Amino acid sequence: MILSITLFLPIVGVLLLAAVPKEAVRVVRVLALAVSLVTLGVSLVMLGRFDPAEGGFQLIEKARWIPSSNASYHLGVDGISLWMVLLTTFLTPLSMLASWRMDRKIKAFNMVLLILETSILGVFLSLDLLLFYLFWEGMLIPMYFLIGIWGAERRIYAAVKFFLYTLLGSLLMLGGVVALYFIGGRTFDMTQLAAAGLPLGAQFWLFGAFFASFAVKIPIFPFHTWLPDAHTEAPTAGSVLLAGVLLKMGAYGFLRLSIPLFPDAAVRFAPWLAVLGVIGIIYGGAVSVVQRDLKRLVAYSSVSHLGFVVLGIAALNLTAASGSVLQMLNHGLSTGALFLMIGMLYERAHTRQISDLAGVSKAMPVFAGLFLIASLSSLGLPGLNGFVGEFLILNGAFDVFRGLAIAGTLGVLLAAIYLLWAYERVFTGEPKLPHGNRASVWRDISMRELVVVVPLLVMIVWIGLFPEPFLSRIEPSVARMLESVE
Amino acid sequence: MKLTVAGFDFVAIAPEVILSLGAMLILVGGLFVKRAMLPALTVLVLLGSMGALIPGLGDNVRAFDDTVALDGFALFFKAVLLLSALLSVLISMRFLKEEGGPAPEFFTLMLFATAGMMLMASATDLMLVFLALETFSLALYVLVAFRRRRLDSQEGALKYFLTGSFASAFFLYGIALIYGATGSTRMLAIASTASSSSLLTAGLALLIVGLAFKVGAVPFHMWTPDAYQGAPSPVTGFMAAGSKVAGFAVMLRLFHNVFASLVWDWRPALIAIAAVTMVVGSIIAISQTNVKRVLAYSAIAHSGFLLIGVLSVNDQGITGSMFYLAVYAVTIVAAFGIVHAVGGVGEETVSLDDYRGLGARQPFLAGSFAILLFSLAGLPPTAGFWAKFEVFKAGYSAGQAPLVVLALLSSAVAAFVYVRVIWLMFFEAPVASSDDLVTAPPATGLVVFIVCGLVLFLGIQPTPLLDLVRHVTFVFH
Repeated sequence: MILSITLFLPIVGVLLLAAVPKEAVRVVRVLALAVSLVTLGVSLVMLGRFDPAEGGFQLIEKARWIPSSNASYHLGVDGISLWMVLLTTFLTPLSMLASWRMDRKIKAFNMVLLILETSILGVFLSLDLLLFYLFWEGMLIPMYFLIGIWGAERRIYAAVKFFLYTLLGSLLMLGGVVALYFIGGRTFDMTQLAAAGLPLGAQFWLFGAFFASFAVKIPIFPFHTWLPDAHTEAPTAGSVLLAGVLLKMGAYGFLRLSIPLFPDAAVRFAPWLAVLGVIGIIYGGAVSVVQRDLKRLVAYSSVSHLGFVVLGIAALNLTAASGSVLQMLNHGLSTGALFLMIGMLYERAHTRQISDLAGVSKAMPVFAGLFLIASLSSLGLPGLNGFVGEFLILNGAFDVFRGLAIAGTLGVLLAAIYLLWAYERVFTGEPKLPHGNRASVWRDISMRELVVVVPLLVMIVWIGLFPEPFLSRIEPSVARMLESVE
Repeated sequence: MKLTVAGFDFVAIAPEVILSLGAMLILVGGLFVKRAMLPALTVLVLLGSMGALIPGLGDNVRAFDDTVALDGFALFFKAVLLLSALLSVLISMRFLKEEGGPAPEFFTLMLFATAGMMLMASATDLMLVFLALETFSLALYVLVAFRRRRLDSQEGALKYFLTGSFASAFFLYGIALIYGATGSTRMLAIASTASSSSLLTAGLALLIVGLAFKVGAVPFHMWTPDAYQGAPSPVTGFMAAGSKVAGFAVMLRLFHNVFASLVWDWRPALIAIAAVTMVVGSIIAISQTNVKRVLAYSAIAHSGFLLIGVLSVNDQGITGSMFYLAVYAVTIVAAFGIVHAVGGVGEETVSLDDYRGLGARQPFLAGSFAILLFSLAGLPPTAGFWAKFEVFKAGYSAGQAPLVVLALLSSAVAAFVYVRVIWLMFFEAPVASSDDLVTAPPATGLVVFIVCGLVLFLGIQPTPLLDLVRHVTFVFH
């Protein structure tokens, strides 16, 4: 039951919110936050019940859904989805809290966020392919509204581009889902499909159909062009959830579906995937260096970071793939923190142009310090979470793709350049602040904002210093997933 | 269940008889009773007709010397048609008020059209199919022209009438050729004697032309946008739902049952029509600036998708198409109800620009319209997703994978159209001049609310309707 409760609590929250008059702004905000916090609490209970030693699916729930298609309401978690679920339930209340000052259509905003939370959780919890697809594509609707209504100036362009790109990928996957149903023995059960052992020819083009969807979502170079627009134009909460969790859905799709279901094709295509991953690492990093908009810089850095994740998955060994899963979590935390803090900066400066800002640390020393920690985490400083993930990925990939792994280290270097250079330009030097140096505008980080950022930084340090509790839950499941390709 | 051939079996045609008698009663009685009574009377007739479906449940009978089928397949479509008619009558109140009060002839024509469409679903004799086709077409020609003072209404009706007459002639000629080839117009007799011959193929081709016209398949779709635009929106919704349901009911009966053995003769033609229809419908919809024309081209694209269900000669093709048609029918009726409500007096505001900022001005209508549009686009969690899913699944299992991929790509193109309406409604600021919007009449609000609820419920749990269509087609063969 606990998975269903986690999954549908946000929807209960939506129904409760619907009953609240939209003028009661405070009630709406508190209620939405409370619901998302309870969801987080329930997901922590789920973490407590999770058996770290077991690599297979746990806490399984199964109920009748569409018998005529042999599809059922089938939920479960393993060490891979566990962290994605927790990341989602963790980031949602933080993005709500970060949007506390958002003043446009507040009720609808919180409802959309909660609907988005359920649809993301559904993707990670589903063990039935049809149910998975339902959440996967259904997620487009709340995200479309989130970017389109609450986004920045070019929000409509960004929202539509995001929608159509992702939809095209999803529809190609739908073709694959339908075909898989017939080829895999008329079932949508992921475990049964994985056991079915598909014929080689079918594996290849089914891998392609699913690749279309996952590659757009991650995004893998050259399918990434929707990302900078969507991330930049989305409101802070939208960027956090987009970068924090939505991108992981693509990588998760590879781990959950592409590799176990099409193992032979996965082995065959792995080198190409690794090449695309490394191109993403270097291209994303290089483009980040030249960005003038702080948010766009972080958006492009996601292309680079997700390139690492792809490289780790493509290596198809325990070290690298575990590193990828951990890096998915890490990226959610560090990029989430960066987007949240850029949002805070924007609330004060009303600009995100790097050239408009300088010497912010003089006005906001605490904020500057926290921003630096998040940046260092993102660039992979030892002792912080990003290092652990990237190290594992490069270490594992080195055994398989030596040259590519070496090329990938260039990404770490680029990350140091674009993050530290941006930090230097924005935070250090003689203050050049829009609206003057007034204390009312340039007050340092507030209590509410600290509550938003600190939990993320605590997790960043925790994973950096003691990754063991995380990795010990990830590895059994990754090992099990890799059994199919051995 | 055993198929019995009966002679006179009133149960088989009772729903149509009730509609026809009711139609005449309203026409004559309209002179004597208050006009405000007429809508209620019409609803009563429709409900009575629905009640008359009940005695036939579970039967599998060919009545009247094997010209009318009384089976679950027919009953299902009759129920869908009656529901569409009922919803259309409910949303046409304001329009009728603008035209000078509820006119008896409007309701009479609606009822006759419904009766004709229903007979299409159960006719098992090609001549009867033709009669039913003409009955509902003639009523629709007049209904399209019902905005008496509007030129585009007249234009649409005239185009519809002229091209429709051609299509009917094609259909009739097709019947004649098939009669020549098989010696009968009874479907059972045709099915037992049908063998591939050039005469039969020619007859079949002409039947396809006639039916493709009625469902608005390319290249026989030219009337659709003009008729959809010209007709009053409640009629457009009814016409879109009804003629599609009736046309596809006949197609399913013909291609899945009567001509199933000749599948290699007709399937290539249907594949070509389906492919062209969905691509053309989806692409041209993008360039439209009038919301009624957008929905018209979307209707064309949907015909293309539905044809996949028809040409997949398997059980899933039937059940998938039935699911699709039921969902599409109620969705499109409600959608045109919203178009009508937003259109204001005389439906002056039907360009896409008039939908700018509708979300702020009319949250209920805009929100409902968004749900219906997402369903038309086939996005989960709406019923439209399962409609497409079932039909595509049928197509794939019938070996039509390339066509399914084309359909998926067309869906992506068509999605842009729906997404654009939604962004106009929610992402853009309202236009200044349109603050004098008429609010939705209560009846329209009710219809829209019910349909949206249905679309969302079936989107999350489609099993009840899927089970129903499977159950009723159990006796189809």
